[in-house]
Amino acid sequence: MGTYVLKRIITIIPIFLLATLLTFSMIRLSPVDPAEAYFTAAHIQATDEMLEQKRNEFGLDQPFLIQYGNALIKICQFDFGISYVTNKPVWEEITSRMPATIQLTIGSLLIAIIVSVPIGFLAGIKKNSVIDHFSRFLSFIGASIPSFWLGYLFIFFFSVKLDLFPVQGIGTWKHLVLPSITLAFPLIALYTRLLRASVLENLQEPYVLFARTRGIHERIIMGKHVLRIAVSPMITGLGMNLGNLMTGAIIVEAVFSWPGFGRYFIEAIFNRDVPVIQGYVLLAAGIFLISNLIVDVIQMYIDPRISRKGRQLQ
Amino acid sequence: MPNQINKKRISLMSAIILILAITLLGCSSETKESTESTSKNSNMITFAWPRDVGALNPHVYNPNQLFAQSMVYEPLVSYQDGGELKPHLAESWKISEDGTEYVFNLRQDVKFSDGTSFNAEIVKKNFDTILTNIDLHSWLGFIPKIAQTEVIDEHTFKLTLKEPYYPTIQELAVVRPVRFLGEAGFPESGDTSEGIAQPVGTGPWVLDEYKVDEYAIFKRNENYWGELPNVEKIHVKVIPDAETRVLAFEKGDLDLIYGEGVINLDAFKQLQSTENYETSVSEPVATRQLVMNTNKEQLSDLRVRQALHYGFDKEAMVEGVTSGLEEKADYILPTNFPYTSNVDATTVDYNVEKAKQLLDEAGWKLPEGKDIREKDGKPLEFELMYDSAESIQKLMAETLQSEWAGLGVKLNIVGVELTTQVERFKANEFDMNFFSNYGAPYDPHTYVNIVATDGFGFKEAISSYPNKEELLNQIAEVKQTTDENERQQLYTTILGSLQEQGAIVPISYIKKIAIHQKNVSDFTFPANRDEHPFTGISVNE
Repeated sequence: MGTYVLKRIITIIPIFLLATLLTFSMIRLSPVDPAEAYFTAAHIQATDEMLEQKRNEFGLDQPFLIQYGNALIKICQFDFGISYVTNKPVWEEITSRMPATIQLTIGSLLIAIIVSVPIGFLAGIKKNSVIDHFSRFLSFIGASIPSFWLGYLFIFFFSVKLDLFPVQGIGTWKHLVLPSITLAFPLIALYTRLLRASVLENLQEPYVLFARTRGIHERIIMGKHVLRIAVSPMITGLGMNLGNLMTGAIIVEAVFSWPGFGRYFIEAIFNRDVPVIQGYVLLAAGIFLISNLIVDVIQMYIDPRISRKGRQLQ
Repeated sequence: MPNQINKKRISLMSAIILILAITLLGCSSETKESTESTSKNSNMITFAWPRDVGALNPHVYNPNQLFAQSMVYEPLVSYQDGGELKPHLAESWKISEDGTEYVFNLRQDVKFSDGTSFNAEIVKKNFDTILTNIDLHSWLGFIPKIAQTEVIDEHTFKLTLKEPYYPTIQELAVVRPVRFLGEAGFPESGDTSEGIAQPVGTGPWVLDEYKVDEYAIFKRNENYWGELPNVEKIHVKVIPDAETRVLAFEKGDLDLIYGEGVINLDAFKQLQSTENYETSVSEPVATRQLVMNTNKEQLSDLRVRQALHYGFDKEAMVEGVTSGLEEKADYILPTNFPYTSNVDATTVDYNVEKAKQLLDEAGWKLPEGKDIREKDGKPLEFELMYDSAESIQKLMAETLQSEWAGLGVKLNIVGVELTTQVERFKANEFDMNFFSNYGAPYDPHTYVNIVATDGFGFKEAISSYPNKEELLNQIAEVKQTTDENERQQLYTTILGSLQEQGAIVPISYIKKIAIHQKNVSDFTFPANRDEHPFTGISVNE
């Protein structure tokens, strides 16, 4: 088990390097000159000498690979540079906004699980029932409505019309409800379908038939055996979507004025704050990679066949 | 055995859920206090702004928000309606004959919000810290011209310039960087560009509570030397999204929405039509212009430029695109700015026949069976670039494209990133471009200065004006004038000539909007484009 985890960690390194290379070259490909962006953000009318000096300071006059190498060394020390706008380290700016984003992400993850597990499970064991149709409807809606629009709808009905929740901001648990549901909605759609399909698949398995012939109560078969195994693909989905949640939070945070780092990222884009944009993209890549790793490990814990398979291949 | 695993898993799961729930609760309880305390206060205006107010440092720029800086810090001179410059922290001033020495008599009754007095010493200290970062501020004309700052006596301050520069007084009205931080606000190093210790100003408002990216609450400065504000507090909520601002306003969470482009035009119209709120539109704050590059062969002909100006229905376009929130512009600068009220230029009214006639005269004829005019086998074709993030520019570009197609002119429109737009304008790599001037209190001198300076795009764009040299000389001269009449005359000539030759087409006057709840009264737009709008505002409880 230990070697498996170690192997997975080692495979992450080249992938992360590739991600840094991609981000780095993409930013260099954009028409924005970081030196110029720096002065524009600081509201300075730069002369050509000033621009030249800044380019030199940023190392933009060096060959691409050297620039990349230098950036990489700094990234390894969690140094993503200094924000052009606030003159503070990007890492500090991002981490100070992390708690709000994490709070939102956890909130929506909980909602997604609490809603999608019962609905998906019931839809699976009672195929074509009312709850199955409802789950289908929910999935279509969740998959097709863009989250910003859903956010506005929620605000309009639950806040402006019914006055149940605040329109925007952070603070009490009430502030968390609407943004979390908005962010959770596409996940609910996805997980409900995933779980339903998985339950249906499991119902065809011989162990269900066997259990039934043994006369075990239907409720125990479903609750104890089918659900337990059927939940497994959902956990994979969860890990793959943890990164999505973080990035999906960009829009939700903007709509609900949630002071997280997704919103900060949007502002950075408007200000052409290159180091922040770069830092954010890398961090998002890192979160994707790490969450996938964690999911793999959890799955291995639940289903030890995975690591055993790896050993057999050796 | 399976039971054991199950138990383990269940306990693990519940532990995780418990931890998550505790984190959530932990995160949510800290800010409860402030939200409650703010809702209690009724003599308060709640206002939304797209961004965090920033560090309230009077001597630096982004991310400090201008309106917030202007609430806390005050200028020596204030810019009022119609461009009138009134004494503010300076009671009066005297300018020497040669226009290089400015002596300011400071008000004696002014105190900073921490009780220390405002005097010539602190004025000098502020000027000196600004001057140590001269590169940062050299965009503001008079700063690089400062030769000396002196304390004459406790309430007299003298500024000496290297050369005469008449806009000095007007530039002293800007929100940043020439406003005054109290002694206690200076950092240990004395250099405010590195940050301030605390926001201590002389203004009518003091920062009371602040949570980054969430809100800022300003309370009135009870020791304010001027007229005390009617409302006790201003609560600024940071709401980055325009639709959310509208929804929050409709719900009654906000008393006031104010600014330029803070909500979309349709939302403004919709709120206006409900008649549940008060809406207002300001005087022009700037002009949206279309700049034609006379270096481009086809545009070097005055008749072509004029034809294009005659050839589109400006009034209908502005009304249609901006839902009437901007106004058709006849002059390249709004006429409510200093020295801009009697510019000598013919205004252009929509006249397709005249446009066609001018193009014919210029030799651009419509060949049989073709839609695009030609001359010597070349088609009459241009490219207009616009900022792809600005819907007004895009819609206007599309309108021009279809209007000019009727004249036999092909217009290609291309949306670009803002920085690209600026770069291409500066590098003279464009046919046509949108531009808008800075507005009050920077114009008209900043605008003509940009026109005359290398590398901003205008000087190159007007290079085929026959009187270009003369214009440049006049622009250099006007900044150094000491005689009011002479100055007025020069501006009349410069602005008239710039416009008459058709490379700068005034499109519309940009305005600010405000919407407030019915219980808010006495709202007025500030004359200075960057100032806060809270002077005199009151709220009925």
